[in-house]
Amino acid sequence: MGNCCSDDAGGRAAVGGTTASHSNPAEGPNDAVDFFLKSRGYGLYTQIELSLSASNLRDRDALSKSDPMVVVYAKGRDGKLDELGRTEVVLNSLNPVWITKHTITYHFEIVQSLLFRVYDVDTQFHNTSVKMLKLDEQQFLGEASCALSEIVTKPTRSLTLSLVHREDSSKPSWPRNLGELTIRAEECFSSKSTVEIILRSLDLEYKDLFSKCDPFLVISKVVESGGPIPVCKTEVKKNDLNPTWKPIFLNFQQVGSKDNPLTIECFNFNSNGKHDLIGKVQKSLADLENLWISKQGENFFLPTAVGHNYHKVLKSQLFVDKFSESVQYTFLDYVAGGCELNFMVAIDFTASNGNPRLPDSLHYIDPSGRPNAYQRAILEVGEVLQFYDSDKRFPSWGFGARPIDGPVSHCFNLNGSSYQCEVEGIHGIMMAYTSALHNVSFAGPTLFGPVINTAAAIASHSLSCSQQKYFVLLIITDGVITDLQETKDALVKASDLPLSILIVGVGGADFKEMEVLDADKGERLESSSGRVASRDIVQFVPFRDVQSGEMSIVQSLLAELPTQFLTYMRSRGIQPKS
Amino acid sequence: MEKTSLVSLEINVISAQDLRLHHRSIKKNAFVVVRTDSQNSCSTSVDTRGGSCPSWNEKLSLPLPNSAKFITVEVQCKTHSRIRTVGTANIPVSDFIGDYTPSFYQHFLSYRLREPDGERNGIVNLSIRAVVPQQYNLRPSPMPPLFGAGLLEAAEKRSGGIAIGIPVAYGRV
Repeated sequence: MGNCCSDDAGGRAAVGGTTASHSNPAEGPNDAVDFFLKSRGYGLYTQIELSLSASNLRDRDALSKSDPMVVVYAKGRDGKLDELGRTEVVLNSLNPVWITKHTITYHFEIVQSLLFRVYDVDTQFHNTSVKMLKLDEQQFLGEASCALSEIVTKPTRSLTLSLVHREDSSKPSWPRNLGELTIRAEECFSSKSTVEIILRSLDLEYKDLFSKCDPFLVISKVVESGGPIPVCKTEVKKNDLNPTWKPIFLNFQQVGSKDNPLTIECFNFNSNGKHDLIGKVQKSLADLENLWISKQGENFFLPTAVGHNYHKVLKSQLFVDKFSESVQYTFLDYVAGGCELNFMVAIDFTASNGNPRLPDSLHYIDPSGRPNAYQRAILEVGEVLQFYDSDKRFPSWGFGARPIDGPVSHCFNLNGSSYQCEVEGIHGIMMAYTSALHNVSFAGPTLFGPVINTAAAIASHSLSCSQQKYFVLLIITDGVITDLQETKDALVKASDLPLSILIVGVGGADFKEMEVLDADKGERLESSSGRVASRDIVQFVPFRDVQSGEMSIVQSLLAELPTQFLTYMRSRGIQPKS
Repeated sequence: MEKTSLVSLEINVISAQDLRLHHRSIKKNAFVVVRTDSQNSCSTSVDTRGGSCPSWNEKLSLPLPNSAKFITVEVQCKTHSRIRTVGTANIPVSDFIGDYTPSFYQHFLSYRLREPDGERNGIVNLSIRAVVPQQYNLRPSPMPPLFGAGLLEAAEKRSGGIAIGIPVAYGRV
């Protein structure tokens, strides 16, 4: 076989297939690209296909109806437009349904603004390719814009927008009815079905009676051009002529389809890399399922000399001990089913931030409108998450300060109310923040425990409702916490709940001690009573300015959220609502 | 004496990690015994392959006596001569009943195992669900949907909580 593995242990490990259940949420069409992007901090992404249609378009042609076409743009943060594609021209219709689909990569952690411009293509250009058309020579019919997340969070995954005349036009906009544009989003077809198979062999024949047989299987898919392509291999069983291998997980997409022929070869492992073929079997997944149902074995065969069609049939047999299909839902499936992501924010008002009236304070509100670090962190996270919350009411707290007429509180409502903690929209958070700055006296110390316990109480209380909800708590702090053990206790208790915690450190403090809270960088969190966190719900990152073009550090935090969400849902077998 | 138990527990013993006997990782044959009181206990099958990170994924069903304050989870290892206890964890009932979660909620919990002399051992992972008969449905403590922090602090002062004693032997924690 010739595949030499550099280390014996590596060579003996099972490779390929899909990892079991929770840890493989990415269903990108290209696993290598997927891994490349993931290793550089880009999160989960899926391909979305947009289909467009319109109704009640204006009639521009005198003699016949308009011939509309749509140009799709991506709108950058600075307003710059980047053309993504154009549909075909539909002749003579005011209610066109375009066939051309536009594929966009959905990134959870970015607000992806899209702009759609509808044009009426003049008759003289009807034979020109759409790409060559000069837009200023066409009749402009109207435009509409939205964020990609607005479309995918709708239960029907389609959004209807009214067309307007140049959104940023200096002319007063005429209140004319320019028609509507409907955009439908669909996740590009990638099979969600995964199958778990347990394979066993009986009576493996091995010619050499004096040396041991360490068998393993390689499953390859047969393609028309060229030889078979290996899809996965099992682990190596030591000295076993009747081995049962560990379960293999295969995604239908990896093997093509359930009926695609697969080659299953059994090799004897050799540390020098030259593994001897013991026998092979050719079956599709559907055949393997039949083998499992009938509980019969399939005989291995050995291809004889080249040129002969005759195969030597061996007495060794392959059995299928388990064949179980399951569907792996994606993050967008849950969102489309009505699951909401609820954003909550807690802001550090300890004295170490500095006097907010002085420009060197982390809480200084710049009169020119330039946001401070706290405001930037709230905007970056809130702007992405707001689309996933239907009522846009966000619980907001401050900690480490004395509200008017009160003792130091480590969890006070940012809106100043004493009985409810929610504010309306990101705008509401900003207003409550600026007014809190004037109404509290900064104090200390920095404690996270009370805020985390309050957020956890809200999350656990929501479990009694029928609606699926997942909570994201953003804690923005300038200093290192003083209640490390209490924070760990609170986090351990919260690890069992539908909650993820993002901690952003602002200012120049040394946050090394905080990294222990993020299990990616350390061990599992342990409470003072011996309970251990059952999953990693915390991510911590120091807030730094980034160069333009680079992904913001907060975005890389957000990119991990769908994975944490899916781990929670899949480990409990919670399915999206249809 | 409380003989009746209204609540029964569905415990899925998932896995364990970093198990050690006499400071060395165990090779195989670990299993778990779960005890709700002196009379009710249940054990998983023996994991012959997992080594120091065995996995069982076995569901056990046990009645929970009304007076029980904690349940015991013991990881044991079958050596060729006898059965040895690797470590024990005591799980307070308040960790899965009576907090703000609904009674049917499946709790995924993990605990640090301690040897009889108090030394730390590995970690055991399991999930627990309380099965409560319809008429006694344990609703989570009523709480207004929007509340300030003050109410929460008052709520926390209500319950006494469970104290878990960890013997400190020879100054080791």
